[in-house]
Amino acid sequence: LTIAGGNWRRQFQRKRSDVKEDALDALIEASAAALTLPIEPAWKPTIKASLAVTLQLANFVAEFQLPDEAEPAPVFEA
Amino acid sequence: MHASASAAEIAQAVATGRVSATEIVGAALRRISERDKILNAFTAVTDERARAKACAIDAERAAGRPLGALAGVPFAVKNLFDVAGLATLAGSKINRDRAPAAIDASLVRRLQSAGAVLVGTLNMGEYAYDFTGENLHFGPSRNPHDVSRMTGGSSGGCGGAVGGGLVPLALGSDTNGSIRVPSSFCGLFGLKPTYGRLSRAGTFPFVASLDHLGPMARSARDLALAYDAMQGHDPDDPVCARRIAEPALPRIAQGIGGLRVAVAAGHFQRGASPEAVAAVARVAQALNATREIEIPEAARARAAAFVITTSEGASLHLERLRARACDFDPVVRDRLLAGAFLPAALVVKAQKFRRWYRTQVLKLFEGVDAILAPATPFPAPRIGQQTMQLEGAEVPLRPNIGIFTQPISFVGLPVVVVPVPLSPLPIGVQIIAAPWREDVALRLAHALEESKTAVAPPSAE
Repeated sequence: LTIAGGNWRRQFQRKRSDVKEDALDALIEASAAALTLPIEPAWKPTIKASLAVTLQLANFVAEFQLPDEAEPAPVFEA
Repeated sequence: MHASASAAEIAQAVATGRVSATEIVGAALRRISERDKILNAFTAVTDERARAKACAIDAERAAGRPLGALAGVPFAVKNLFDVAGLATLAGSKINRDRAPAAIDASLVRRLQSAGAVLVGTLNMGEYAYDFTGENLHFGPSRNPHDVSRMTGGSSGGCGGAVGGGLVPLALGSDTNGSIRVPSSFCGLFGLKPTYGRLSRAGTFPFVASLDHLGPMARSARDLALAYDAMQGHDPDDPVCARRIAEPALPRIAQGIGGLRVAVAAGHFQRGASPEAVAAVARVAQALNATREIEIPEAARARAAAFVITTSEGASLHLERLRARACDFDPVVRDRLLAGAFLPAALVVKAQKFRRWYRTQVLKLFEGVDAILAPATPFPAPRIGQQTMQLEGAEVPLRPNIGIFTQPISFVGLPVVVVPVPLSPLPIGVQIIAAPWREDVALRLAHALEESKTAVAPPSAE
C-alpha cells in the first residue's frame, strides 16, 4: 500500500517492516477475545491489512518527539 | 424558476410574491421524482411535510407577516440528521431498526425557522466512514456531471442533490473531508465551519472530537445565508461554542482588499494531479496570492486524524460490531474492527500531537488571513474504481482521497471549498481561514465567484 506524500511515504515504508505478521495475528486474536468481538476467519486478512496500515500511521505519529508535559488536545473542564 | 436558481433568488422571489413557496417546493419535488432515479441522492422524500410547510409560508405572506431569510427554499439533509418521524439511518442497514426520531435535529429546526423547507434525507457512506459516496445498502450516489463517476463522500447524496439541481441547499457532515470532498467532485461550494461553531445536536455521530456539520450550495452567498441562520450556542451539543452569532453575509461583498492569502506548499502539492494544481493556480492568481506557506508536519497530522478516527469510530460502534457485525458493509466493518484493536497509548499520542500541531498552525495565521490548498488530489473517479495513477505510480484510491482535507479538519479550521469549472469535470480548492473566521473564507469565495474563477457548473434541466 502506498499513499501519496513525499516524507510521509518514506516514513511509512520504513515503518512497514516493523510490524511482524505473527504479532498482528496475535494482537487480533487477543483483542477480539478480550473485547468479546466475534471475528469470522474470512474477515481476518482485511482486518489485518487495515490494522497494519493503522499501526504504521500511529507509529509515525508516536515517533514525533514531544515533552512529557505535552497535553492531549481535548481538555476536560470540571 | 430555473432548477439552478439560488437559495437567495428563491427567497427573494417568494418574499416579493413573484412565486409562491408552494410552486417552488412542487417544482423541487417534481425534479426529485424525475431525476433521482438516476442520481440516487435521496433515501426519503418528505413531500407531505414539505407541501404543508410551503403552504404555511404562503399563508404567512398573505397575512402580511415578515418571512425568514430562507423563505420557501427547499433543502435536504444527509440521513444522519434527525428528521421527526424517520429513523436516522446514517447510511446503515442496522439503523433502519431505530425508532423514528421524535424531533428534528437542531440545525434542521434553525433552517426551518428561517423559512427553509425540508424535502428529504440524503444518501451517504455507511456511518460516514467513507470518501466515495458509495453505499452497499442503498446503492451509490451518482455524480450529476457524469453519472458513471463518484459524488465523493461521505455526504454523497448532498453532492448529487445540489449539483444535480434537485435542491439549492443541503446539510452534510465533515469529519475528515466529507463536505469538502463531494463539493470538489460535484462542483459545489461547501462550508466546513470551525469545530464547535454549529450545533451537532440531533445528528448521528462518527468521531466526536472531529465531527463538524455544514452547508453545501451552488454559491458562496447561499452558504452564508444558511450558515448565518444556523449559528448560535446550543446547550444540547456540549461541544458547541458559547459564542454569539457572527453573521458572515453582511461582510461577504467586501472584496479581497487587505486580505493576505498564501498557497499551501509541501504536503499539499505532493500527489496533486495536474487538474488540482491548475485549479489552485487559477484561484491563487485571482486572489493575487504569490506567497507559499508550509503547514508543518501536515502529513503526520493526516496520519493522526486517521488514527483518532478509527479508534473513536470503533468505540462508537463496539456494541453493533458485537451483535450485528454481518449487517455492516464489510469495508467499513473491517476498518472499525482494526480500530478496536489499536492500543490506546497510540491514540493518546495522536491527541497530544494534535495540540502541538494546532499551536504551529495558529502561528501561521499571524502572517496570513487565508491559505489555499486543493480539496482533493484529483477530480471525481469512476464509481467502483480502486486505484489511481499519481506521480507515475498506481496507488489505492480510497486512502488518498482525503490527504488534503484531513490535516485541516484535524485542528478544526474553517474552510470554504470553491468549485473550479475545469473540463470535463470540476474540482474544488480549499480556502482555509483562522478559527472563527468563516467570514474571511466566505468573502474570498464570493470574490472568486464574482470574477468567474469559481463557478458551480450548471445542472441539466
